[in-house]
Amino acid sequence: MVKKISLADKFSIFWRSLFIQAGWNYKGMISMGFSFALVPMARRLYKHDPAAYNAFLRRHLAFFNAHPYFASYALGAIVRLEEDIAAGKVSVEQEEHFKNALIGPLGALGDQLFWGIIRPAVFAFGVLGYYLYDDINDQLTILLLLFMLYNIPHLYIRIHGFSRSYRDGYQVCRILKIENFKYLKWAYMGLGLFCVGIFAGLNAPIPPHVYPMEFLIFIVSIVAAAYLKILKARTYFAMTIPILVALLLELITGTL
Amino acid sequence: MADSIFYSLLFGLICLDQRYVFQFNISQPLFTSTLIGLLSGHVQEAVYFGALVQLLWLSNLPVGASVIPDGNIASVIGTVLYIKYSAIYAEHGYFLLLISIFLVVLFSYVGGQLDIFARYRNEHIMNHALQALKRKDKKVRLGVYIIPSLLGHFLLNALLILTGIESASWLLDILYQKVPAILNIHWRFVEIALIGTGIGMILGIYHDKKKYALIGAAAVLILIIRMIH
Repeated sequence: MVKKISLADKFSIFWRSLFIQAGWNYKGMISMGFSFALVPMARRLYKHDPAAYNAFLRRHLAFFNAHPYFASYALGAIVRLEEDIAAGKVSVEQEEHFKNALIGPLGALGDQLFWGIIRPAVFAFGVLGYYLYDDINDQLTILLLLFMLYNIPHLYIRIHGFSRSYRDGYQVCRILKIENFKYLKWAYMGLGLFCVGIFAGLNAPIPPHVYPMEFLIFIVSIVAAAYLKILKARTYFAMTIPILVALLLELITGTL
Repeated sequence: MADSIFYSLLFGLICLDQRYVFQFNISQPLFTSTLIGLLSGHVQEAVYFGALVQLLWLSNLPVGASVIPDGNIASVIGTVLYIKYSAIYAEHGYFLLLISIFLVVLFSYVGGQLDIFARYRNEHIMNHALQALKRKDKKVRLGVYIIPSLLGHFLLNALLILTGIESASWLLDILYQKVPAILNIHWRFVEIALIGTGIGMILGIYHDKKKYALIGAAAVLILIIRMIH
């Protein structure tokens, strides 16, 4: 009889996937969280076989890394493949090769989309909103908007990732390309860049001849920070050196 | 001290969201500073400081296995200190802002190093789990290994927040007596420097002509509107 996971198991796996980075370490990376998320699968397949149950979890404690949200694509596919392994259709080695092949795309996609675009864009919107609105009720509304703007795509990726990859199995690799998320990417990129531009325009000390020092320090700090960031200087330097340079400038010109 | 303990326990828990559980990003400075403001009754100061710190940390990208500065915990420490001393340091307002930001940077570094320690600790826990999973007679519960890992993260977060607030308070108490108020005027451009730095760091991660064009177009539009009005 082919063993398949139930809807309750899927919910349980999804809930556990929210802890996927709980035991992050250099040896296994997210493997501890990944294996923890697959426990309902192990219970379903090897309920009466402690040796196979433990072997299943131990197997999934091997090195694995992915973006925490995009790891759902791996979870769904692995759940599907484990059902096939239990049915004798797929070997453990095939599953391991597939899992290792997912590491690169899942990491790159998630880092590019969420860490590089969505998160900065959403919080740039938040900073602009806080700048424009002083009332705490308006700011709480902005926070709620922020929460939704960020977590709607976040939860969509987690839920859709799991269900789609469970359905597609091996074929899930076809959809793991940034082009398949281009509308999401463009929408948030546009939002973020627009908010940064508006914020810069609102804070620029104009006219320069009326506020010469403020304008000079504003430009110097922007250029210095951007230059250090492009050079991939450590965040601490990119953050503090422009401020120190700007203040030094003020001390020198103020003394003169 | 009681306040510091309260903040350390509450935000020690909330900051687990940063990397280890859920990751809904409620541990970001905008959220935590607003909460600190609501709890302390100093909403304006907390929100002002939190927004500035958020601007600085926008370009902080936790890519792969890289160790990034722990800006979220550091911003909790900085916000608590800023609202605590904003009344006491009334004559040193600009200096307080500058020192608070530098303390945020310092504690973000410490937090990053503690994260490395936590990762090695988790490796140790995982090795125990691997050993236990060699058993063939009894099912091993992985939750027994996840919980200590999370507890460890929580304790590290809480400890960092508590020691950060207390040690920085001690430092600020000394500085208040040593730094003459007359020097405060020299730090009056710290806010504009911080805003410029934050914008510059974002430009640094989006170094692309099309993206710069969009930012520039939005900025010019607003400048024109400001000039007309």
